[in-house]
Order: sequence, then C-alpha cells, then structure tokens
Amino acid sequence: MADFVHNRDFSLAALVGRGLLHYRRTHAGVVAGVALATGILTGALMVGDAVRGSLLRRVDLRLGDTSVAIGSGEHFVSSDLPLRLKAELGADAAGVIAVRAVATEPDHGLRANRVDVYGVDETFWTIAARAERGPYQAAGVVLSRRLAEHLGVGVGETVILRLDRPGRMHRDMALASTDNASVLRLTVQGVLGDEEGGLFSLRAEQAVPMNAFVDRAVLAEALDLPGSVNLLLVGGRDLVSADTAAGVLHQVWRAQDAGLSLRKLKHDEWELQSRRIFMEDRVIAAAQLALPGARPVFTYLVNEIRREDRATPYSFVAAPGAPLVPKGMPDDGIVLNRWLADDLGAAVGDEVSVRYFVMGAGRGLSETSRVFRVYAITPMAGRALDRTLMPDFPGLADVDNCGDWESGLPIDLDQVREKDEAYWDDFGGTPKAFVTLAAAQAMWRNRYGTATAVRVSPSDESAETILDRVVDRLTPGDCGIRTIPVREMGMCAGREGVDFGQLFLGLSFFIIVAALVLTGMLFAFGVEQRAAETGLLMALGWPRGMVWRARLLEGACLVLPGALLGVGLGVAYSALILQGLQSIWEGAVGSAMLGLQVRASTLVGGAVVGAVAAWVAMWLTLRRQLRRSPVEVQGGGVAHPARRFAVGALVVGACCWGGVVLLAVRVSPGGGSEVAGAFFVAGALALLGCLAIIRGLFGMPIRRDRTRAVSLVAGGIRAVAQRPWHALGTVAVLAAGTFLVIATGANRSGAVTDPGRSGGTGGFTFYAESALPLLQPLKAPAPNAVLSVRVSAGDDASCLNLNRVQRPPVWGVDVALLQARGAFAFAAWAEGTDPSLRWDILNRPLPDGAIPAVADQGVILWGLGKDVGDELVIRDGRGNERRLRLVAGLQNSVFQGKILVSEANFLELFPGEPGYRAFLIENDSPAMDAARIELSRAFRDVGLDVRTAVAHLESFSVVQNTYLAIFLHLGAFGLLLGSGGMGVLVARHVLARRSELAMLRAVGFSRRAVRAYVLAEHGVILALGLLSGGAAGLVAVWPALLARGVDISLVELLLLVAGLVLNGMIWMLAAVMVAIRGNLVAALRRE
Amino acid sequence: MSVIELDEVTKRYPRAEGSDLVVLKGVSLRMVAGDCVAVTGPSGCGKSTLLNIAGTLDRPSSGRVLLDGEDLAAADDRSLAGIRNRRIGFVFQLHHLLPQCTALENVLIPTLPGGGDADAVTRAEHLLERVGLADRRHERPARLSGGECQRVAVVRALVNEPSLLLADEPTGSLDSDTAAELVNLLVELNRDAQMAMLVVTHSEAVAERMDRHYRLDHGRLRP
Repeated sequence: MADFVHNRDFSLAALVGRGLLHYRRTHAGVVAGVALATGILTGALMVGDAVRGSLLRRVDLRLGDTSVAIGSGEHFVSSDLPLRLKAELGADAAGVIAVRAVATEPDHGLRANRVDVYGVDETFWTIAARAERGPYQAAGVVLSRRLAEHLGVGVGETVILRLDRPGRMHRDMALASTDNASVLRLTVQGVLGDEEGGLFSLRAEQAVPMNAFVDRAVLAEALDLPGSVNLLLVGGRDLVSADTAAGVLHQVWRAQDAGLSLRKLKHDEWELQSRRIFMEDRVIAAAQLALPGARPVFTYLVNEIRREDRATPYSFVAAPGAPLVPKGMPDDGIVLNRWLADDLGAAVGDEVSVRYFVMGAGRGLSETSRVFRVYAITPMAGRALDRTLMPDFPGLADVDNCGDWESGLPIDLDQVREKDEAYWDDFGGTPKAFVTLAAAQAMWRNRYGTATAVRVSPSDESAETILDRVVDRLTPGDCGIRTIPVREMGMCAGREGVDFGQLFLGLSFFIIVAALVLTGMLFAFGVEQRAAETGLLMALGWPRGMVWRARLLEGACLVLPGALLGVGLGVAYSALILQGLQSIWEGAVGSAMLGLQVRASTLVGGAVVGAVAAWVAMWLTLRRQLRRSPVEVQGGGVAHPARRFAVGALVVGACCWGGVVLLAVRVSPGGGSEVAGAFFVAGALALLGCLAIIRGLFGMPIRRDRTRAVSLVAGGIRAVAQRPWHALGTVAVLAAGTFLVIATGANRSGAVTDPGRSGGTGGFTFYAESALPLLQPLKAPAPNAVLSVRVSAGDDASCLNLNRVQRPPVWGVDVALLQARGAFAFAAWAEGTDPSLRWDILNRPLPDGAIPAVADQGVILWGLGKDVGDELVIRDGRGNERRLRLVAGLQNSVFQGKILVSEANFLELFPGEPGYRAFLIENDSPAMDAARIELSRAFRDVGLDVRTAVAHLESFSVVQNTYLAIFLHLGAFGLLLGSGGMGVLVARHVLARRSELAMLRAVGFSRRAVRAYVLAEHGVILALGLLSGGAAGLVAVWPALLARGVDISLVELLLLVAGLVLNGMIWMLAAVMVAIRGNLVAALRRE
Repeated sequence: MSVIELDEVTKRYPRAEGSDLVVLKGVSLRMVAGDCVAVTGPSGCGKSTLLNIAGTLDRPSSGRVLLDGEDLAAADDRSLAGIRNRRIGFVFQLHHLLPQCTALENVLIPTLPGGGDADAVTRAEHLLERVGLADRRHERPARLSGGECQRVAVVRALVNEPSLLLADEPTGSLDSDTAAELVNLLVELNRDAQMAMLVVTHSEAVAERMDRHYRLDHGRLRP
C-alpha cells in the first residue's frame, strides 16, 4: 500500500486500509467465513432456482406451444372443430384423440400399464413439439423414450396397444356394451426425444410420461370413431387465454360437437337426438327454450309387462306425449297397443304391472315394478307404429332378431317367444305401451338423462337452423367439454411448486449459522487482538461512534470480498447439491431434470444477505467490546464476570429443561409424526437449555478455595471461561451439529410394519391402479375385502410431485365399506364436525351445499396449502366450479395426493368418468408375492398395476427420508465446520497464550505435558458440545427409540458418537500441534 | 485559573465479599498552566486510577473534577471523548503505537476526530523534529527502538496542543538513560507549551524532576 507519506491524506479510510493490510492473515479467516456463509446461502437459493427452472422448462417440454387444451374425455367432437377454432382464433389448433392403453412388447411380454396414446396429425407436432422430428409413416407408432425403454423396443419392432375404447353411451350404463377395448398392433417408427414431443403431457407432474403417438385416422378407425377427436390443443403459447379460447369455442361449436343430431319423422316432425342416447335436463331445457312446442320423449326397455298370469317379455315402453298418450291420462294410466292388449288379454281398466331395471351406482342394476291401469288400447296403426320412438340402443336397434340382442343388460333370451320374434320382425322396436312423461321419468330417470329424444313440431326451418338454435342455448361445458388453461396452470404449478430454495435454506440453516458463528468468532479474535488499539483510540478521545465506524468499515471491507467469493462458492455448492439431488438424494425430486441456473438476482440477493448477516455478526461482536470503558478495553477486552447475567442464563436453562419435561409428560411417546415433532421441539429446547446453563456456568465468579491446589487443568478451564462467548459459540456449533446428526439419523422412517386397519394401509394388502377402467367393482372374496375406487383425472398432489397442484385428483370411495372396516385413522377434524362419524362424514350433506371431502393431513397442509375446514374449488366433469369442504384430515395413508369424496358425490361431480381405476385389496394369502403376480396377470388386459400397500405407502416415505438424509449430510458438514471452528478457537487460544505455555516449558514441563494441558483444557469444550448435543438429540429421538427400539442399532449410535468425538479430537490435536510448534521458550525470550 | 482541579475525589470499587475497596479517599489536587506534578506510590495504591479520573477515562465515586474551571460531572461520554481529544494528552507506560501505521501517522491519529485540521501534519512534523525523529517519521513502530516509540507516543499526546498532559509510568519500559532523556524531553516540552503535566511514576528520579511531588498513600495524596 502506498505510504501516506507526506500524510497529507491520512484519514479514517487510510487507517482502515492500513489495518486491513497489516492484519491480513486474521482477516483472511473472516473473509473465508463470510464466503462460506454467503456461498451456502446463495447455493441454496440457486438450488431453488434450478428446481423452479426445471419445472418451468418441463412445462415447455410437456406442452410445446400449447396454450389451452380443450378436453372432452369420453365425449367426442367433430375433427373439423379445430379448423373452425383456428379460423376464428388465429392460432393453430390441433385435434387429438387421447386414450389410455396398455402397451405390450409381444416377444417377451414386457408390459407398460397406463400408457397415454395420442392420435395426432401434423398440426399436433407443430404445436406440441419443440424440435423437428424425423419423418414417420402413418401406419406406425412413435414412442416416447421412456416407453420405448420400458418395453425394451426400438425402431422396426412391434408394439401391441390395448386401447381404452370410449363407448357411444356412458360406459357405466348397464345398457352400454362391456366390450370397451380395441387392439392395435403397430411397428415402432421412431423414439421421441424430450424436445420432440416425447414428454407431451397435460398433467402438471414431473413424472416422465409413457406416450405412444399414432396417426389420428388409424386410431379413430381402431376406436370406431371416425372423424372424431376428444382433445383440442390450441397453440400460441402465452398469447391465447382460456377465456378467449372458450369464447371462440362457444361461437364455432356446432350441434355435432355437442353430440346432437336432428332427424325428420313422419308428419313433418323433427326429432332431436343425442349421440349418447340419454339427454340431460340442460339439453332438454335448451331445446324447449329454443323450439317452442318441443317435448321430451322417453323410451325404455322393460323386462316384463304382466296382467295376472300372462306376461310379455322385453318390450319397449315410451312416453311420447299426445296424441298417443291422451291428454288428461293420469300418471298411473297406460295405453297398450292392440298386440300387447291381446297378448295379455287386457282391457281398459285392467291393472298391469311393468317390471324394469333401475340403474344404480356403476353398472349396478336392480329390478323393480310399477302398477298401471289400462287407460286405452290403441290400434296397430298410425302413430302407434312409430318405430322411431325406440332409441338407437347399441346392440338392440341394429339387429334383425331378438336372439341377436347384445346389450349390457342381463336379458334372458329364453323368455323370448316366437310371437315376440314375429313382433320384432314386423314392428322392430316399436313400443308396445305408452305412459306419461312424468311416469316414465319417475321410473327410468338416471344420472345420464331424463329423456331419450326431444320431438319438435313441424317447422319450415332447416335442420341446421333448428340445431343452431338449440346449440346457441348450450355451452360446451354442458356437454362435458372443458377449456383448460394448461400453460397458465403449468407455469403456476411450477412457480408455486415446492420451494427448494427455502427448503435448502432451511436444511442449510445450521451450516449458515455455523459459518456465521465462525465468522463472528474469527472477527472477535481480530477485535480482541486489537483491544489495546481500540482502547487507545478511545483514550485519545475518539468518540465511540468513530471507533465503531472504523471497525465496521474494516468489517465491510472484509465482508465485500467474502460475499463476492461466496457467490462463486455458491455456484459450486449448488452444483454439488444438484448433483446430489440427481444421485444420492434423487428421492426428493423424483425424475425432475435439474440444470444449474445462474440468475443475477439470486447471486446479488445471496451476496447481499450473506454480507449483511456476516456484518451483523461482526456488529454483535463489536458491540460487546465497545460497551466497555476505554480502560477496560485497553486492559485486554475481558469483561468482569456479570453474575446477574450468569444467573439469568442459568434460569433460562432451567426453564428450557422444565419445558422439556412438560412436553415429555404431556405427549405420550409411542408413534405418529406429531409425537416425533413434539419431541424434536423438546430436543431443541433441551439443546437451548444446555447452552444457557453452560453460559451461566462460564459466567459465574470463580470460588476461591484456598485449601485446594490449583491444577493445570483447572487453570485451563478458567482460561476458557474468561472468553465465555467464544467457548459458547464453539460449544453451540458442536452441540447443534451433534443434535441434528443424532435426531435426523434416528428419525428416519424405517420400514412400515404392522399397518393394521387403523394404519396407513387401512389393513389392505395390495394397492392397484388400472390403465383401463373396470366397469364393475372388483369382486371381493370376503365382505369389505376390496375397495374399488372411482378416479378423476388430475395432478398428483402427493409429496412425489414438486409442482403446486392445480387440479388434484378426486377419488370416489365406498364410504360404507371403509366405515365397516374401521379403516385408516384421522389426524384432524374441521371445527364443528363430529369425529365419531368417521367415514360417514362423507355422506353427510353440508348446509351450504359444499361437498364433504377428506385427504391426507400432510397433503391438505403442504400439498394444497390449506387446513381442515377450508374449501377446495375444483372443476367438475362439466367444467363448472364446485366447492369441496375438507372436513377431515387423514393420518399418513395410501391415499396421499388424492381428495376423497363419497362415490355418490363422485358420480354427481364426474358423471363422464367410467368405472373404477384404483383398488385396495385385502389378501390373507401367505404367498403374497405370488398372489400379487396372479392378480396382475388376471387383469393384464386393463393394465392392472399391483403393488403391496406397504410398498405404496413407503414410496411416500422416500421423499421424507431423503429430506432427512439431506439434513443429516448437511448437519454432518456443519459439524465438520463446527469442529473446524473449534480447531480455530484452540489455535487462537494457544497462540494468544504462547508466553504462558513457554513459561510452563521454562519451569520444566515437557512439550508433551504442555500439549496434554492444552488438550485437556479444550477437551472441556469438545465434551460440553458433544454432551449437550447428545443429550438433546436423545430427547428428540426418544419416541423413535421407544417405538422402534430395535430398528436403531445401539452400535450404530455409538459409532456415530465415537465418530463425532474422533472428529473433534483430530481438529483439536491439529490445532494444538500447529500452535505450539517451534521454540516456545525462544518466543518468550523475544517478548 | 487552574487547568485541572480535583476536589475531594473518592473512588470505590465493589468487591465480591460485599464491602467496597476504597482506592482514593478525598484526593484534592490543583494544577495551573506550566505545572509539573509527580505522583508516586507503591503498586496498587491507586496512581493509575487517579490519572484515569484526571484524564476523564474514569469517573470518581464522589468529589469533583474541574478542567479549565468546568465541572465534568455532567458531561456525557461523547463530550468527555471530545475533551480528552482536544484538551488532554496521554502518555502510557507502553507506547501503544499502532503497528500498521508509520510514526507520523501514529502521531496524527488524535487529529482524525477533528477532521484532520490543515496544520496537523505540519505540527506533527515539527514536534517529531523537536524530539529528534524527523528522519524516522515514516518508519513503522517495529523498526523503532523502545525510546523512539515512547517519544512518538509523547508527540502523539501533544499533537492537539492539550492544556493537560498525563503520563502514566512513561519511563516504565525504558532503560535508565533513555528514561532520563524522555523525562528531560517532557519537562522541556511542558515548559515550552505551558501545559499542566501530571506524571504518575514509581521512579524517584523522575519525580525529582517535577516541580511538585506527591505521594499517594492509603488513598490520600500527601506532599
């Protein structure tokens, strides 16, 4: 540094500069401490950036340029709708067929369940893929890399896709066919990389999808749905909003997209029909509003019409309104056609009973009957012979003979007589009897509709105009067509996802504090080393503020390079953590693809926060010194023991331990995360108590006992107590590190054992999910042994998904079964709910119309960011917003990530979701693995993926355990740092007392004895650190020790403690060796 | 007018046993400009305490301290620091020079709180020349002898032209020849600058060089 010669410029800044240069060695340690703290802080924030960036990048890879998805599930729209949409919207729109499938590799039988198959055209690729893909032939299939790898297939090899074929009717209807699978055998034309659309998915999850892309026409043909699509992708990235897309959709959609058609009947009447046969109230209402005089018609197949001992099997009965049903006919009146009246021998005024199936939940049917009185008999002529009254029930309307009927109904063809065949031949499905609409609806209304057609009076208008008028009064949502802002939701899910920045800040908190304590200690050493200088400045009349400024300016000059260095360290630290997250800590992020992200704002933020934190640590250190008088400071900077402060510290320590005892008594040890949490708090309190007591003891005046000889060790301990904050800082870092290592190590969840019915598995043995829905509940070998669950699509809300879930999946469960089993345990109940209701709570209607729901308490709190009693707004199957009230929270269970409602409520929410896709199965077979494989094999056609319920539950523990492992590793790193800090402390103490040690050497103590003296003295710090950390750690793991005592190896724990002691000893020894090397006596002589 | 006046100054320190240790018992002392006063006494008799109180580094338990007629009892720490800086010079037994600064910079340190007045350097250089260190002014303490360091410390005490110079065992760490030189220097400087100088020392030889000589005995100042 330039000499301030001529010293005209000598100023405060110059003095600071001189100090920086002169004490550079001491300062280097401070700079390193600041760099370490800043580095870890910045690194943690960068990990957050990397995870968030990865999730957001995944949105791009998942969606390409897709802005909005218009999904219609089982409801197919015309394949030219995208063209109409594009023309009005000005953005690309692709029509896609999206179905689930089971993929098989035929040679080795390798199978992939839950494959997403997309029928696509060229427009799809321009929207969904970010990179050009190779030319593929329409006849083949293109697989995503994960699917290809899973099946072990490459280009040119064959793949069999068993497709989930949507039915024309709701597949839950018993009338619908049960054959709902199509098979495609295709040659692999290519394997798609991530940029080529291989990751395409509408689900905001980081799980890599298994996709198969097939030419749309090929898929449509296989599904028997030519010219139809059920998913529209709108391009334009961020330029198209869901509202805009929905508005345009409403403009351009047509009757065919709503599944409506019009046919002309005799007498110039029109009939509005739905492709799905049954018409919902809102469609009927729209038709009646748009077309004055429109009247609903309801026709149904009844099992039998009987008068006394004469019965006619399997006849259609219709409610066509006037004139066939005379005005004024009561609802218990019935009009028979002549054929039926003759068959039954019935006359006007006779009683007849009608037996028919009533649709229950799922494809469940129950037979019931209703009695009518014959009101009239109509001749076999005119309107009575209207064959068009029979809807186009698949399997009934399109066959020539009764014997060929193929509906989902359990029809006993043996009952069909020759005369019935003859009627079918002559009149087809012409109804044989007529009732009022009210009677028909009372008997046959179901969740899919309240009519089978709407008839419209003669009109001059064209069919197109009539249909347009009806469609104008409907919204796409009325027909189950939902507009989803997938990009916006994806970005939101990514941005608000699990904040790894905060998480790692939390996990690294201990290291950051350790680094700051170290920084403060090193700075304090420097400050104390220069206590005489500080005292001199004060004696020379420098105002305290000016001394402050000089010292803090010097500190700032250390903090700045430290922070800058720390930023560089932060980049390296985050790279290291990311490496960890993609290898040993993979469980925390699953399959998220992480890449280092360097954002200027993060670097600046990290540097600023690190610098400020370090500066505050320095400020606190200085504060202690500069509060004293100049004489005290000049005298060496050691404060007189403050007895009152020491007593206060002892009282705080005693209170903390009192709190520990209170917590231990109030929370009965045993199990449960709450108990573990309470004991962790108790452990932390114990740690604080230990530290307070140690500080108190350090501060107590030394009792002068003249009768006791002063030993070297006692003198050493007094020397330690002379700088209580230094010693306490080191003890605290060591203790906290020990505490964390023991607490996290022992709290890791072991294997789930003895789940029982009240455990997380509900006592079920297997957990299974199917790719294709099972239309009937799985048959149970024993009562309540199988829970079949209805599933709506959504984003996994469990801890396995890092995104903030926007659309949690809703599951419809059999409340009675769960109640009867006494399955699962509840962790929390909303205020005002009765816990004794248990699962029945899901059946209790809420006064405000919200739907009761339960979910895992962890999911409610962390996955959804809510609490029990809160409402969750979801979109139902029609795209309407619905309120679910989280009435209770479950303890950790296999339902993690799902929102559970009663099956009845589910069907009301999602009438279009067919069948059951998730199953919990109890199986008492001793050969559990064989049973699992057998089950999986038996249902391979629907892609049933079976695993043990315990394994499923444990998969969630992986995340928790990984977090704990990270904590453990970072805790160990912090402990290393703490030990290093202790090394520095020892070295500093020894260096500061070289003359004292030299004196010992001079009076005849051997070098070994001096070393032993110093080691014994500082061993106290090591012992105090390890003992207090160990004691607090034991408090924290007490419930775990009691609950799974055998799981925690005593040897492992002892080894851990031995490792900690050894680590501390090594650092201490190294520091002593360094500090007392050379000729001490010569050093004394020099002084 | 007196430069400094101690009026019935008492200083007590609380002891762990409960009773107070009384170091100074009603000490009174008055000094005018040009006075050279020595205080001797055995170790632990309270000489340094007396000096600290006179130098506003410590406050008396009772009694008054008046500097240039101003009672310092009501002055706060900041005012006292200003008084020390502008009106009192200190020479300690150990020179306490900052090792990172040159001799001249060490001398200039007391001038920094005042914003470094324009004449400070000239004054410092003149004083260094006066004590025979003109050629050594750019040397750091490590390269100066003990006597030279102490002379720099004396110049540092005088650079702000104080009215009172306090010296605590100024020759305590010097050999007898160097000590004698330093005492001569102090006396000369005092005569030139017409300050009041209070020297606390063990050395009878040093005390004999002062105009007045007091002994501090059991907390009382005796001629």
